[in-house]
Amino acid sequence: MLLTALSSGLAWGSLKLPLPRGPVPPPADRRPLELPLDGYVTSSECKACHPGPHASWRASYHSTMTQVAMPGAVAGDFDAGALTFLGKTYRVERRGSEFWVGIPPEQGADLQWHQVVQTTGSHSMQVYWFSSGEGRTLDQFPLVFLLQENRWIPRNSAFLRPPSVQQHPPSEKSRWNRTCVLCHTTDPRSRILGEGPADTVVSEIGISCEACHGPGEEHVRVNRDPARRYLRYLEGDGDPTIVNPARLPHDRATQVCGQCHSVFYSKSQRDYERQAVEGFRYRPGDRLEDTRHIVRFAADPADASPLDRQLTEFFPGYMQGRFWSDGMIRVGGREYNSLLENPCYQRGELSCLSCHSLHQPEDDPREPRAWADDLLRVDAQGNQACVACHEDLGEAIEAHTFHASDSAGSACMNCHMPHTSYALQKAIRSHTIDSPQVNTELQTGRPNACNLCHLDRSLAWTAERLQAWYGQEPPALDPDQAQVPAGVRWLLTGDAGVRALTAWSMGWEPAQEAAGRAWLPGYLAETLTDPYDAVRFIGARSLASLPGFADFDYEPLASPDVRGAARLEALRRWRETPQPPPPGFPHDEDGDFTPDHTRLLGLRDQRPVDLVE
Amino acid sequence: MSESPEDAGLVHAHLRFGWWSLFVFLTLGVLLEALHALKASYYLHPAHETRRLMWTLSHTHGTLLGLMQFAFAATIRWGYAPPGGRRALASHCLRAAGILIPAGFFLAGLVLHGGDPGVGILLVPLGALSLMLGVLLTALNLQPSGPDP
Repeated sequence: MLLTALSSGLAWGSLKLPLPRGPVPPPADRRPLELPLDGYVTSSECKACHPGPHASWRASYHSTMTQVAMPGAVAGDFDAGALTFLGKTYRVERRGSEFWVGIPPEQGADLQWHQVVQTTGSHSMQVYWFSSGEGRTLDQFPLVFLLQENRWIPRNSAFLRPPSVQQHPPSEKSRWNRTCVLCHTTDPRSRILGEGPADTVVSEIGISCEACHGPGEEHVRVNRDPARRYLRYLEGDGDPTIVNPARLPHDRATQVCGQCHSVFYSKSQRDYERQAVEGFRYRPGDRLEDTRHIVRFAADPADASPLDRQLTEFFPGYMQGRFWSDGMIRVGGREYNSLLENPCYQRGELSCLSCHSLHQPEDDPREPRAWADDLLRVDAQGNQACVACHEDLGEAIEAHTFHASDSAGSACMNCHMPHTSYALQKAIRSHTIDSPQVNTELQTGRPNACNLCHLDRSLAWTAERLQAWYGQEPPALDPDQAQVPAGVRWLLTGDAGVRALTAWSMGWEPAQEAAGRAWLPGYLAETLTDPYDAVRFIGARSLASLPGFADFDYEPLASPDVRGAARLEALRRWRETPQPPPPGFPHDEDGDFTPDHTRLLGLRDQRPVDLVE
Repeated sequence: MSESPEDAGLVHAHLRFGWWSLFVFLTLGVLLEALHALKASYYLHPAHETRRLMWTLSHTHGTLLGLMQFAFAATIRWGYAPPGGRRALASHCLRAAGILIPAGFFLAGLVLHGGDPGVGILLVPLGALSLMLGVLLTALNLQPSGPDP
């Protein structure tokens, strides 16, 4: 056998055939370094003893949040060739196992080519990074790839940002090293101070086991002893050498998630600098607020903490980009801030793990991708998560909801966790559990849960029911609030954030069922010419979900003229089957808009909205 | 070389043990293939990687140790087997190994502790010791004569 192997090798050599080579990773000296430090050992050490949890983690989007750009990790279409946006033509190319992007320079004609070294995201979109040429500092390819729609778009079109930013995007150089690294890797050290080059080091690329369970070195070391392992199995206790968030008190367990899913800030400049060099001091199981400041937006500035006041002074718009005016978070991915304000968390035992399971249980019948979509526990998909504590409500659900027990109106989450946060071109459920109140909408501008389903009903209609069912005193309403359907009013007069939420709700099946579908195209047509790219994308998706519009030809990033023509075409198609509108709608039975439509558009809240996801 | 009734009994015992081992552990192999065909989560789920390993080891060890019984029977039949008490001890050891090792692997796969096998795995080192002793006794005490022409 040995002789055979040797002779085969000699024959191969004499023929000078190239040896088969696997994919080669991008140069390691021009991207963040993966180097486990401070007791971190990386997820590869965990697999041998925890194959099931390791496999479900691998199936989750946490594991692929940041990846070295290699075949299998890169999901974008790099065979697309030339991509033209905003008058600039970019190119993407695959060269063997390498991925390259060509970026037009500020001056001159020749593209500047860069090898993609790293990716961010694998669920909704993927972002591509290349070496800036300075140390381990990364720069961002200005286009991102939408995974569901299988297309490239400019980065700033993927976020809800003012048109001025979309037209003139700021440089994203070092963004990954300064910001993304903090939550998209495990045990990060940005090692970038001032304007100098970064020497970024992380224990593991991606959000891995030790991000939630803490450093594993000691755990791995002591458990090399099989006698110890079997003793622990027999005793059935947890292992004190590692953190299991499921065994932590509910607040500490929630803080494990909150280390990333929150709006936070360093407690001081010194803290920031230390973190940049030595990494976060927080370890799972610690009290989170001992080592970082969780930002809270106080409705009354007098109630704000000194650091929050400083943030507001130094960064105007910081709070507005993240919070509604009553302090409720309005962007997705920051759910810890929501839970902090939550009575079930403050006075009960609610934690993230009450509804979410970070590892898919073996008896979960869903496909791993379906579970990974929102990491919801099987028993938290309906009302079970709520009625486990609120038993009395569960036993007589219709008496509480005044909706049929099997309807969307009797789903706890639809009323108490409505879709009032925004992220990734969609509406996300609020994680502050509250009850719908018309007054809250009047004070904050945040759409109320009732009308997010009953888009065709006015605020007065909602106020009447909340009074009849729950004894809420109806507030004073202006004529538009009293008469115009809330969905129409939000879409025509709301700010870009509210328009995005409304456009999304118009494509949400429970809302379409409750509010009817016939009137929706006429109003979604308005989103096709919205100045915000994200609103147009959402509006187009909702429109395509309606009967007769599945094949509607529309490009959200086309020129204003083309978009305007698409709006007219949508209206024409809508008017082919005219229906008499219910009271309050600003259109007539032929589908022609009344002067009220124009008047409402004139009332639109034009203040720039820049939601920082 | 004439075969004593005692040797004939041993040969028969090892042949019977070998054939039954083959029947049991080849059947197990077929069952494991059926679990693949049925995509049985109990066997194929990534969390049960250790079960898959243990039962595969049970199947292969059981089969190979079954074949080893034939080898020992042939060694006796051809007159090379160790003499007297050592022959009996080697026989006991090899048959014990033929049970302990595959049964240990099989039981170890029934109940898992994360990536670790169940406590049935403790039978495996016992079986391994028994196997080594049986093989060593046979190897050290092989009769030089062999069968009569």
